[in-house]
Amino acid sequence: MPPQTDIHKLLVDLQDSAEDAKAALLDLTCERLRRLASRMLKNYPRLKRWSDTDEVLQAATLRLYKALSSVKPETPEQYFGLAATQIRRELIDLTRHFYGPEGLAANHHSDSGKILTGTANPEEPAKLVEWESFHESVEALPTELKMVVEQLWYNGLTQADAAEVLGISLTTLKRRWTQARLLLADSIREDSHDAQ
Amino acid sequence: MPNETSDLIADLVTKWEDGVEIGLNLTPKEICFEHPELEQIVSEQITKLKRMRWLTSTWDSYASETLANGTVIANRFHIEEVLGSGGFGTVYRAVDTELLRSVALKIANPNRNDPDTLLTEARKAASLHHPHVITVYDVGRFEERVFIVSQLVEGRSLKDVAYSAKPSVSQIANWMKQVAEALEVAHRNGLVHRDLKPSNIIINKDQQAMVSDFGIAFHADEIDQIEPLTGTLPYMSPEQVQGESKLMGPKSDVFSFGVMLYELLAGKHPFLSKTSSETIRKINTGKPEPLTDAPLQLKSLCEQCLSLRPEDRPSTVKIVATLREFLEAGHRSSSIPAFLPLLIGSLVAAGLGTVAWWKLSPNNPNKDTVNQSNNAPVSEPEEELPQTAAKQEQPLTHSSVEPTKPVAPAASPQSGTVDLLPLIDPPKHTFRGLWTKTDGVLSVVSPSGVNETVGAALHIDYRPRGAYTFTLRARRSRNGGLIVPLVFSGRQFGAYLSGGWSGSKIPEARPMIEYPVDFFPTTDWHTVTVDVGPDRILCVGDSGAKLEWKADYASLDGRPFDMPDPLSLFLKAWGEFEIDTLMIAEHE
Repeated sequence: MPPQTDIHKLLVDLQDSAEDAKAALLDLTCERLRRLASRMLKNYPRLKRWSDTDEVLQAATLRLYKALSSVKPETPEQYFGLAATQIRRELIDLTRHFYGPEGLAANHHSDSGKILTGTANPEEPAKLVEWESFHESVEALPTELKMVVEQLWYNGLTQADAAEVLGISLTTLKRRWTQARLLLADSIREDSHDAQ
Repeated sequence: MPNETSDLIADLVTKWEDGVEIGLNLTPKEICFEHPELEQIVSEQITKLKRMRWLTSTWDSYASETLANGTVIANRFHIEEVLGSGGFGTVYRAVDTELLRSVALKIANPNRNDPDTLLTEARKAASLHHPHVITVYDVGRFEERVFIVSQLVEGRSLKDVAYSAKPSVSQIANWMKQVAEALEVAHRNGLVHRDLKPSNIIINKDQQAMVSDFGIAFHADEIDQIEPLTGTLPYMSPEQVQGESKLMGPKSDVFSFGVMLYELLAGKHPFLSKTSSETIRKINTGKPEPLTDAPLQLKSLCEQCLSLRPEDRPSTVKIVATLREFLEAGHRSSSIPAFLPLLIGSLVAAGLGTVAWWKLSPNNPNKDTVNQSNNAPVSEPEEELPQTAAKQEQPLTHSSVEPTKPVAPAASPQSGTVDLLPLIDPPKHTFRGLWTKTDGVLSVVSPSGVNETVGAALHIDYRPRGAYTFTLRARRSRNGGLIVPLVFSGRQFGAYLSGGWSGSKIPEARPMIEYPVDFFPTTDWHTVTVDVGPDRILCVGDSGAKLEWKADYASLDGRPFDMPDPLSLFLKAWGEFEIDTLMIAEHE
């Protein structure tokens, strides 16, 4: 979440069923989806050549908005849990939209799908299929670890806010965040070896 | 592996990561000093965790790999020293061995998402040739990273100049005219800077303003491709804040120009608030407080530049003409509000996901060369500083380490506020303290006390001109801690003033590992006094703890300590920490 927002206040207001707070949280969640999707797609600038990525993303955002606005979470944990799940689903759908068996690029023979070289961290998923694998690895984490990844990565909460949302101490949250990343590192490495 | 062991390993790895986030690089041996049998596995897990650094956003401190002095780039550029680091990468002073001249060499961080952006920056900047624009000489690639070679400018950033001295109105007008001239040329060539701010303006030794860092500048015809929220929030235009790409253009720079002009004239930022959302609200809807003491012409110009609608803002051509007219009228210099450094710290409190925010970089050992990256500290000119020799004739006495009490306020004490800023995560609670400075004594007092969770820093960009003493009264939670790095001319030197990390005494990281002391042995209120002089640093706590560096303290970073160097002060806290008083007293 963009740090300029007072998440704590929004959470308090949400518990009071304040519509404004819910709308603000929805906005933030949609923005988070946009940012994460942009990150996934950053290595594919040429997608624009044969598909309007903005349009696809807009559709995903609208679906997310609809899904979240139709439910009435009773607690911040419920809201953020749901939001993270929806974000993850939309991100997986996005990867499949472009590169799944039915995807636009699945049988494309031009260089349109060529990814950029010299990307950031070599360990970060570069290809959409790797991103999909990452999201599925998160899904497979033990529940308590997955919840931490959901709050910190998918929802973009600060560690302090995530601890509050999950009702655990900051120390516990940090421990689980470390454990989750270590498991994900193993998982990503295995997937990488399998691919080779 | 039993769960308890697994948790312990995770805790130890987390401890390493916590250290990284506050600027330490603890070794597995140091972390596992109570569990040496786990050293090997912790080391392996740390390596594994590093592979996942892309999942976090706070690892830049070690993700950025600094090249060693003496490294030769492209068989031509010999690295001499680090000048600083910014949004795009690290800037070095280097020697061009072909043309035998010193240059600034900027290399993209290895963790940058898109190094090609740097190349784009260079191409755009290289198309500009103007006396008030820093010249780009060359570009190239080094180990898959892009580097840019540009003119090395001797000087200081406008931010540093403006906040450490009292520029006259005519001086401000002259600098701003030069900035406007540079922008006018850029705009004429279809370039918009988009990140105009005082730290991107360099005042060279001839007192000429030079615009640097066209890092996120874009061509007007590429407007649909840009990331709207790129820039530095407090200087963004309403259309930038709102992400209105189609409205962004040269007039966006004019708005940022207006913010700078206002800030220089008023001595305070027009929109900056304690939260980003409030800053955004003010940018979008609010008008700043009227400029009361500024000359009418400049006041009017400022108001026009800060118009909400781009079309209501003047062109750079008109700005240049107005400022020229003003200067030719021979306007008398008038005094500008002084002592602003404290407010600089609060500038960085704001931060959106893609909005640049910074912390003071320790990598600026050069005294006279400005950091040409974003926002690193720069040094004061020597002539403005007290003489080292004079200071050394007044060695600090033990009595000087007694807690310093603020003296009674004089008739017109300087005062203001200081913000707690996020170091690791945005702070959950915002602290705004009051500072006053009277007769050389700076006091920062929080009526309700600071109470902050992990990852906060109280940054006071305060620059005493000689020996000084600072006194801190604080208390920590059971697992709280505090580090007080003192930054001299960008060279960081720190002291742990607390143990208590995970309930045990932390083995201080090198070089502090040799000084295991605890100034906050209990969770009671404790007072610590740090006396910083030309030949030593002495920390004394009311708990009886004492830490002193003499001869060896100059050797911590292998450089002699030069007392007149300005400094900035960070207090970094983790766990929970309360501070009720912080005082800095400069010595005669």
